[in-house]
Amino acid sequence: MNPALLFLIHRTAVTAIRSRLARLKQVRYLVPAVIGLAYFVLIFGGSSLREGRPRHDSFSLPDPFMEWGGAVLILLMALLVWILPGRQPAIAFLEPEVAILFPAPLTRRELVTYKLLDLQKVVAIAPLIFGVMTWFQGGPARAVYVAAGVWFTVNVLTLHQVGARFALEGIAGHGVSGLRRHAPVLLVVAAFFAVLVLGVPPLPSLEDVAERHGVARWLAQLEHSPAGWALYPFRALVLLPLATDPATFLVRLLPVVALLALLYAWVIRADVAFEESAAEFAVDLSRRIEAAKKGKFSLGGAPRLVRRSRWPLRPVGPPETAFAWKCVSTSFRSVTPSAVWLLVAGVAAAGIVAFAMPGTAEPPNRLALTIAGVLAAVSGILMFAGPAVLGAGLRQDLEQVETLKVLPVPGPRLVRASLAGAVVPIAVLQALLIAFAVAVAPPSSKVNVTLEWRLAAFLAGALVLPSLTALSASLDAAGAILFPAWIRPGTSMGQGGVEGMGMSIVTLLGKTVGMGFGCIAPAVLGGGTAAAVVILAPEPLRPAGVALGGILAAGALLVEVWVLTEWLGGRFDRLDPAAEGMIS
Amino acid sequence: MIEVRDLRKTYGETEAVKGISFSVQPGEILGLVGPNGAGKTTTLRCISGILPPTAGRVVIAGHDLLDDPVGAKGALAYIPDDPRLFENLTVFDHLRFFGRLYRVADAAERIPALLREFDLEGKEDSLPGALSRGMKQKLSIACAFLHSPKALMFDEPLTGLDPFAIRKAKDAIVSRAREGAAILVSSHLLDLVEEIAHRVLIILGGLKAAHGTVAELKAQHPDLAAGARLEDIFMRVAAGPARTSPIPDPDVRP
Repeated sequence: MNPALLFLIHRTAVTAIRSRLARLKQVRYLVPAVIGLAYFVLIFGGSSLREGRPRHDSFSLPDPFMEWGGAVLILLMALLVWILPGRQPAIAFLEPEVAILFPAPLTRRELVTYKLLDLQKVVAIAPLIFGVMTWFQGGPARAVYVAAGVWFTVNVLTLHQVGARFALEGIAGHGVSGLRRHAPVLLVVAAFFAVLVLGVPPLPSLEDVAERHGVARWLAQLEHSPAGWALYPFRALVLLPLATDPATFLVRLLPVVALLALLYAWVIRADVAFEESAAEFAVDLSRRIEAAKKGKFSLGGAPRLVRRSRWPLRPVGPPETAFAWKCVSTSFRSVTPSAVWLLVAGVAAAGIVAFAMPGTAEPPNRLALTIAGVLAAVSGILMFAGPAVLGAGLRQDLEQVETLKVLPVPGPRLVRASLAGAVVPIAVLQALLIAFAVAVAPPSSKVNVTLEWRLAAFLAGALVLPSLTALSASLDAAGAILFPAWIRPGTSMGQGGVEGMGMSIVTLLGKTVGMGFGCIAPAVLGGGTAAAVVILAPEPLRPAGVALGGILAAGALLVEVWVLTEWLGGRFDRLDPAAEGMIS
Repeated sequence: MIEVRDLRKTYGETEAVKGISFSVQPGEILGLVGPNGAGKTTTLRCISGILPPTAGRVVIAGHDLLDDPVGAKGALAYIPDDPRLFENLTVFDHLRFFGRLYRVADAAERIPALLREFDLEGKEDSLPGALSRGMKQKLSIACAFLHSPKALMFDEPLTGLDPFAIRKAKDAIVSRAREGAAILVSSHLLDLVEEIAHRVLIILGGLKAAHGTVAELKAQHPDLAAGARLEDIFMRVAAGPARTSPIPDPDVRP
């Protein structure tokens, strides 16, 4: 290993740790760090802390199910690297590494070894978490075996991933593309599966499957079959962290170390030109890191070409409309196809889970109820988390505080225009979701779901939810304007880690409390009106009562938003960005 | 010296550099100019070893970049347009790191002089995040100078520098050339190129469009006024018919 690269790794780690510790002298980092740490301890050690001692006795011993299930899981993870390699290069470099290390007199082997060592800061996360969890649940000795075992396992998987990507890049570099590119790999995979399928012992009967010992007997047969031998490297990776004593650990360590050495040799000997893809990816990675620091997360890929905004901006009119136009256009452009597919997949998954849960309704009502419920739930989640997910709103715009301060727009109007960017796209989506939910909602034995009821529910939902979204976005803006030193403009604490987690908890709690207070008056006014009409008025007027309640609740919410933004705008006008550390 | 022969670089279907040849002799400063997207940065990145060339040959101080990349890179320094620094290394750490990376035995003696030369004294323990863009650029140049490279390449070296630093940077480039380094400077600042470069290479669309001293280039366009400057020459060359093949190179021997 080149001593200069060792120096780089060492100094980087030392400075990063020192910087982290030094900034804890500031209250805005210390408090979130304490909260984040407390959350971490409660989550992973909650049960044992409540009982006052580690639950050594409750830690279940490894059984064949865990061993074989884990092996199959690792096998699938390894296969995925070959089948879906993604766009990421074998080794990802940062821009300074490309600019400084690539032109430096370093061999390719030195660069690869450096990155493998540098990766340890990421690899170490899983062993650390598993180690802490085991410490609480199984005591310190088990924690050491688990942490060390997981470290070896993750390193084997990491080296395999790097090697596989090198191999695929090598195949691609020789002009083989598409199916032909994957043909050699597919042949190896096919051969491996042939051994697995042909070498597997006869499957147990349904009666055996129902009986736990029957499956255990079959797994014992599998261990001594060709399929079991083929799966041995994967089982070895599972068995190592499950060791319970030093001798077992050392015996199980030998095959894993051998595997690690083989993979390291494979990676180091790979004669693949990675510079071009690494340099290209470094630019993309840098862009994504910058975006993430601004609270805008991207799944990667080159910057998209976007269509010209569909909404014309007239040259005359209130100046704040220009700002609102900018915010709304930007928000709609930030909705990428991958984000839409992710949302659809999430909704589908939630629907499947909800449908599979036991319930009273029977198909097809059960399906309709599930769809309506999931759509309404998504609409509600969007209200709370949508502005942050969209990366729109004043918090993001405040990063350009110098530009905002010189705009010829009074603070309150600027704040409201900025909110439009977060609220309008979400409101459109919420209205669509509510419309679908109301349309598919099945009839109920308690309520005769007539067209009038559906229209009333749609009107109330389509008015109240966007108004709540406006309140939610206003509270985000309030955090950014009132506590700019705590909630750094455009960022979510910037550096992440325990402090980031703690800050997220603080922000979430603050926003929840704010939403709770903000909902009291609208709930009393709108809910009270709707309840009164439904209880007191004759049946034909009841849907109108719900609609009226929705209108009143939405109106009350919008009044609150107006008052809040008026006040926040004044605070923004008086904001001193230099005093708050927003500009240097 | 830097010797580039028939350098080509293709990104997918796009041929960014279409067969460029030139050389920079020891003690010479060659100015590389061209409009945006002409292939200047790609050329520099290929010569520095950041990007592998699709075809062609690059020789740095007698070391072929393909056959002996470590030897070639050891004799070279590349200063990119935007200073890329390690965010967790201090100014002093960067210089120590470069000293070790390029095996500079007397780095400890050279570092204070470089800190002084580039006004970085007092900033030794600062992280890049605490430096202005100009200071980062100065640190980047100081790191590049530490191992006294035989070949130096600058991509827009004066971006972000104040007038004092601009003067210092120009003096530093010229003094390194006088000490025998072959220097390639890519810049849109044509006045800078005209002031410090011995020869100028104009590239358009990935091809060499003109190459020579300012006087030689002026002579190729006799209709230009007597007091014509590099800017006038560049405008005339850029407005000319688009080339589709490389022009012959007088200073690269076959």
